[in-house]
Amino acid sequence: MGSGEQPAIDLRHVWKVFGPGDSARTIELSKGGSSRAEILQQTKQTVAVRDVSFSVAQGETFVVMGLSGSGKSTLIRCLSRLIEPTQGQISLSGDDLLAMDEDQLRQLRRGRMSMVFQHFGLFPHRKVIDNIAYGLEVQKIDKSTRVARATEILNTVGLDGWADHYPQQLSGGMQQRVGLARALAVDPQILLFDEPFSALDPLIRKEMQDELTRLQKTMQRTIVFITHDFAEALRLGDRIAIMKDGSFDQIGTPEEIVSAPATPYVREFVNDVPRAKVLSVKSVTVAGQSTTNSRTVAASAKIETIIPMLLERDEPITVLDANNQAIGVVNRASVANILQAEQK
Amino acid sequence: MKRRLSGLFVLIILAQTLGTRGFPDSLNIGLAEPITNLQSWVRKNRNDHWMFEFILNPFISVVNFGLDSVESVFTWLPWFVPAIIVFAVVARTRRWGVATFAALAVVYPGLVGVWSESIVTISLMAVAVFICVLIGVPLGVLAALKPRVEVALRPILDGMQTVPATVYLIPIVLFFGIGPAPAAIATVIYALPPMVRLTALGIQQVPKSAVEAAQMFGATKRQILAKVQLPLAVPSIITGINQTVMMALGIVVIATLVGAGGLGQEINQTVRRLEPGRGLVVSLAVVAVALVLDRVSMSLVSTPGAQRVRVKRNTLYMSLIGLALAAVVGRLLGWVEFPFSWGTSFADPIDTGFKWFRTTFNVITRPFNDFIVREILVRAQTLFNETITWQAVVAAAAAFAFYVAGWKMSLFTACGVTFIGLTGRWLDAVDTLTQTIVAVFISILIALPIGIWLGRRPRIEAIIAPVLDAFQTIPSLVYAIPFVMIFSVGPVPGIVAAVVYAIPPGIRLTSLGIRQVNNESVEAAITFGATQRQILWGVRIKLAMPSIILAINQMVMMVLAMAIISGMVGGGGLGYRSIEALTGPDSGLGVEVGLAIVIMATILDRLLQATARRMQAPVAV
Ligand SMILES: Nc1ncnc2c1ncn2[C@@H]1O[C@H](COP(=O)(O)OP(=O)(O)OP(=O)(O)O)[C@@H](O)[C@H]1O
Ligand SMILES: [Mg+2]
Repeated sequence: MGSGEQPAIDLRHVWKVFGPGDSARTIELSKGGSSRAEILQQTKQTVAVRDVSFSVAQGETFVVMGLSGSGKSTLIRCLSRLIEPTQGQISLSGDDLLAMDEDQLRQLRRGRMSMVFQHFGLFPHRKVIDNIAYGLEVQKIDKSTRVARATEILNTVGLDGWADHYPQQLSGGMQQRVGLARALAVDPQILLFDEPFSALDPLIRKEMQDELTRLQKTMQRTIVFITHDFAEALRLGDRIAIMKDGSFDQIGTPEEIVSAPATPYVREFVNDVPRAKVLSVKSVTVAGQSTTNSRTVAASAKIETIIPMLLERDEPITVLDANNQAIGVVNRASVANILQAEQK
Repeated sequence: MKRRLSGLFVLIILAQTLGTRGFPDSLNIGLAEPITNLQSWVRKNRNDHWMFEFILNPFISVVNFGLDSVESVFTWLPWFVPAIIVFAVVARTRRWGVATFAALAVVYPGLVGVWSESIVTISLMAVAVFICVLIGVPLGVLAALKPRVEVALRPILDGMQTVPATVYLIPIVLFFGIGPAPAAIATVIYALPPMVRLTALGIQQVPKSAVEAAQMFGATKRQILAKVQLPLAVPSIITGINQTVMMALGIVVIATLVGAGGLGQEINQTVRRLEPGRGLVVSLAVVAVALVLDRVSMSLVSTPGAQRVRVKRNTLYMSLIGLALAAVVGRLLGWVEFPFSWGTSFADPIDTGFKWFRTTFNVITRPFNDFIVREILVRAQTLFNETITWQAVVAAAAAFAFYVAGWKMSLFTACGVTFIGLTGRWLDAVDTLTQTIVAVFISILIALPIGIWLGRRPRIEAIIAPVLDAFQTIPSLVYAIPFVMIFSVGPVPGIVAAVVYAIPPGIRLTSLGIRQVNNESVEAAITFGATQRQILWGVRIKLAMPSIILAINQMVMMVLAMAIISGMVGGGGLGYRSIEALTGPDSGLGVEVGLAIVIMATILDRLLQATARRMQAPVAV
């Protein structure tokens, strides 16, 4: 197993080309600047993932956001080796994923990595408890141990009392809790989520996002999370990648992306985002100034938290960094400026 | 396209003027000879060649042993024990009415006095279905997991269902002889395809996400198969068993030709003795057996979480012991056979009724019979044999195939039709084809209007549908019995029976097509002020046309399947030849007939499917 300083997940120039034929030539075409549609016409092949590189640190939540068909599922399936990438390197804490044989891969999946699926991927013929215990059963762990472990996880995700039901007797949100519990039961270091909440109603989705945030606070897993919902990406991601036509347009923290979208495509998503909810006070701080009144705010707080204060009294507020040192002030003008940009 | 079509038309005219009338015997390629030689070789070596001594004969003994064991168990059991077991198994699903009905169906054969015949048939079913499961499930799994196996299996499975049963009975008789075991083997071959198909389907239908999830937890291929794919395929597999049972029951009558005995033999005799009443009563016993096996197997399919009667383990043991005691006591008291038989009291009035019908309506049935035979069948035969040249027939068939399905199908059709001639069965094929066309034509006239009418009356259809479906479980010979009574032996009872046999699925498919027409299209037509009539012809029927063509296709296949039965009641044609070949036994003739029927069925099937596809609205790519 790799050392702590190595990223938990590291992808270098990963490509995936679907369709029969000479994929190397297709990759050359794509590198030469041909679009996906042109390549599909010429070669009948689809470039689903196009030269993607990124790394995820231990305990980080990395969100990949993109619209339908952008290649997100393909990417995460390469990462779990449900499909083989056409080209590129993937390493997990320094171990070469693509060099693993079937047996090593199985070992990896049995303990280090697990996945939550968009349409839950539950086993309809097994009770909730047996669904959750599946990963342990595959590892031939004895029955009493795995039932105990599964019951514990069941309670963690808030499904106490549902153990003996079948998946289709549960609501969508509860089914996905089972999916989540099943993935957690094997105690994996890496969790992969392929649009886990897309099939749920907005309210339930919000609830599940909060649940995941809550769990992640205590468990600190390395998470790769796929979504087509930009708001969800902003809410969950430590860092976000915006994917379009198989490649990444931009990688950055939510704040970096919202304050400086790299391409017009990314800007389109950013435009709909209420900045006050994403940007921190730090981004509107006027450095070097100071004020005499006693109102202070942390630099990492979101802008929305200071709007009531500024409305209450039009006086600057002192901004404090993590060490409680004053680094400047915010006032109505600086906040108004950044919110104004949203209108354009 | 137009130019090519007119070219083909010219070709037909040319073929007609230059060709030969009928199919000359000199062109017979002598397909039969090597097969007849093989037959005599088998005859000579049946007792001492190693293949028989060490492989086929021991195999027969094993099957015979299975048949005997099942049969002796059922014969030993007092009649009420199976009824109780069936009731208990079905009642677990809490459907008490169905359970009672199934139990009564178990009793029925005893009630009409064919208890022991039923046991023979059930034993044959049990052994045949068991072998089907033994072979079919692994094959199905293989086909689902290995695309290559599927590609190899598909044409074989398709072929197995179009070859008339009498034809592949021939090699079975040749290699295995006559008796219950060969009959069981024949039944296995006939009933195997749905087992393989539905197992494969069940495995393929397992949600991909479930398999991927299992993979992601590091399950091995074997673990995935055993813990995910197979359990999820169980409902489909049981449906497969169910279908297999139905198929197997479908040939109980034909299986008597190789010595199956049992209910089939009874039915066969009633035809010979012209006793439609008894035929009906015995046939209902076959239906009862089908019904019981169907209900029992369906009650075994569990939807996860479905409400079932829970039985404590102790209660279960106690009732099993109780049942065993009841069996022994029943045995000791001699309550083994059903205590009384009402068979004749049902059968006789029906027989009398038919006799009365026959004499009373002779004024109608006689002319009808004569009209069909003289004006249609005989004329059609003279037309094909003496007026049209065979080259023109080939050219016309090829032209039609070209029009609906392009040049590949056209080539296939031309070769196929010519080949039928080359085997020397041209006349028989023409005979069967004209009878088929007449029967299909009548079926269309009846089934389509009813189907179209029913399609818009879902409530009435909900009532009629189960009746129509039940018709399909009746052995096809049974359809012929009353009509033999009415029309006397000849092609007409076969045709009428085929019509009756083919109509139910025709109605079902047509009404399905009408019902599935997109409601929005109909509403759109209404908002444009279309009349009811315009909506029916311009929208509903138009959009349902592909389904209607498929309904016709289904009817053609059903009518062809009746060809043998038709041969049994004096219809002539390929059906009659196949029986001749079997009773001969004349394997050479059998192969000729088999090929001719398969080619004919394949061509008709493909052409009609292609026609249906042509009528489908183009789909955006
Ligand atoms: N097995 C496959 N064979 C051929 N092409 C495929 C295959 N799987 C995906 N593709 C193609 O690759 C592209 C990316 O598909 P992918 O499923 O990764 O998109 P996605 O971003 O997950 O979309 P969605 O939001 O709809 O799930 C699509 O154009 C798709 O048609
Ligand atoms: Mg996807």
